[in-house]
Amino acid sequence: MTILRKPLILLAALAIIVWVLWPTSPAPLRATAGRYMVEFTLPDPRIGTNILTLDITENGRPATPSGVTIEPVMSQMGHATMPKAVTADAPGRYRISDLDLPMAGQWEITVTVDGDRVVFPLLVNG
Amino acid sequence: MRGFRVLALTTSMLVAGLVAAPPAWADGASGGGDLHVAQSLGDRELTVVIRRVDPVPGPLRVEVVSHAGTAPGVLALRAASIGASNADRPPGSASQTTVTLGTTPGVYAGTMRVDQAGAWELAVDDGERVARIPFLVPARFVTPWERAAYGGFAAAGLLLAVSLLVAVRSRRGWPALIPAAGVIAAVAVGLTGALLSASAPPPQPAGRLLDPSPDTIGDPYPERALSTTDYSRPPVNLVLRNDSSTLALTVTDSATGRPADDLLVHDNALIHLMIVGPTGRLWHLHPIRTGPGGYEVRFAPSETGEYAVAAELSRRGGGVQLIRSSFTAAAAQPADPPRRDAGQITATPLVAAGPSTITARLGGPADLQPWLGMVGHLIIVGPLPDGGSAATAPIWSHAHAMVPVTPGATGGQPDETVAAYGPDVSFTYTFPLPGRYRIWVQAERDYAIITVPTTVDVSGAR
Repeated sequence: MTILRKPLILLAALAIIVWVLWPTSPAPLRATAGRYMVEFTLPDPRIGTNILTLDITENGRPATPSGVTIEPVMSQMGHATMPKAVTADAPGRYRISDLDLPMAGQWEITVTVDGDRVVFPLLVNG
Repeated sequence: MRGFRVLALTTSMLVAGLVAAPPAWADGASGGGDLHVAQSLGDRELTVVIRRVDPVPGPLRVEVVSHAGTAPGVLALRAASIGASNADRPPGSASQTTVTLGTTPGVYAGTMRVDQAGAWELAVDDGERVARIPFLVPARFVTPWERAAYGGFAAAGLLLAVSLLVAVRSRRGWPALIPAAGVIAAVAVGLTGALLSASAPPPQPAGRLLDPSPDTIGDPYPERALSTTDYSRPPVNLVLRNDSSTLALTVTDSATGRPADDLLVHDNALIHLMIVGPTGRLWHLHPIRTGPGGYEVRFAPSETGEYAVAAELSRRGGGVQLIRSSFTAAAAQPADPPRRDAGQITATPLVAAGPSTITARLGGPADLQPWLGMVGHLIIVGPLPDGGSAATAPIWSHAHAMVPVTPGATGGQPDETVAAYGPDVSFTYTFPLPGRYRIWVQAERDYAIITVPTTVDVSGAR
């Protein structure tokens, strides 16, 4: 019994440490643009090229809007970029693998879905 | 054997106590205080006081302060969650109430409910127009040193119990020393945290430096991971459009041209709009926000000519800006008879480039009320060109006489119900240039805004 107990207690202690220190990524941001719900996933934004995933739904189902653009603006520097049209990989799912954010600080990513705009604040670390 | 067990228990408890302190303990701090916002809603000059929401969910108390001449009527108030949300911070539910303004000026209050921390908007609807005031409900958080203090002392208490237990149960003496050493370590961590918390920099109020977001609102130091320390944003451009009854303002970012929708409440207003008419009359108004970058104020010109305009505002990230502009208008309504507010302005010798003190003696008892958080406001425009408009005057200043500090006072700035200041209001100001200036002193008494105008001549530097 005592032979079994030692590894059990050590394992329990280890499990607590792992559970506490396990990295968590923040939940995706959500906001409405007109009749669409836009889910914005950009885990751990960093200086350089980032991967952004947009999930656009309408009444809970994947939506197929006719035009989706993203427009990153670095608000502290007053630096805007040309809106970029993005295309869907699957119905309602847009994966932008080359979102370039060249400096740390407060960014605002405007997503336009069929003319309706929504702004996502984004803090880029670095 | 027993020593290992005790060691494992000690380690796990220390880790649990230090790191896993829950993020929302009852005594966690939530920054922010009451928000006082002056709003010129139609013909009414109102102060909307959004009281601090604590705890969340909890009641949201909104007080509307009406002033002399404010028409009675009903205002519909509606609080709604705005901006992005996430699964951890879902959007809050909207809440509404009505406030009935009576015939006597004073405080009229309503209570709504806020169920989620984050960005909110208070809509004040008088039936014809809606003022949309953004405000932030701060989340509770525990700073790292508070976490160390609470966790350290909690772990020390637990370990003390463990060491007593081990000392009683153990046949040998030394195993009790292991948790006892843990007690000392935990007390050291707790003491360090407690001592640091007194001198550690307090977190910035949420939304002051960075855009509020569900990711960052519960973080006391969201800016710590940034390599930048300058949070300021570009200045704004102000576009004016006026018709016979309304002046509309569009505020855009001067660098990107996009709407600037990040104005902070500064000196109790989103925008302080000062207008000087062709004959030197002053209006000090607070345009309502109608949408992102869009503001408007009711303004019916009573004189034909050029109106000089200055707007004071502050963007998120820091820095107050003064934007000057002008517009021309034809008289749309007959001029109301000039209001004569009692008061006398005296000044020490006025010499350019040297400080002088301007004192307005308003008479009567010491019962001035703070308006826009200040006992008095001094507005200076000049030197005036001969027969020229205030729009071309090189100097436009706005000085304040602060509310004196009340020893031991707590609970934020005194609101307009505190009629205890004056009746003399003094300002010290350095006129940069010689010449003739128009000056106005503004203060509040009996819920009426007093404006005392005069003209002063400033001599050249000796």
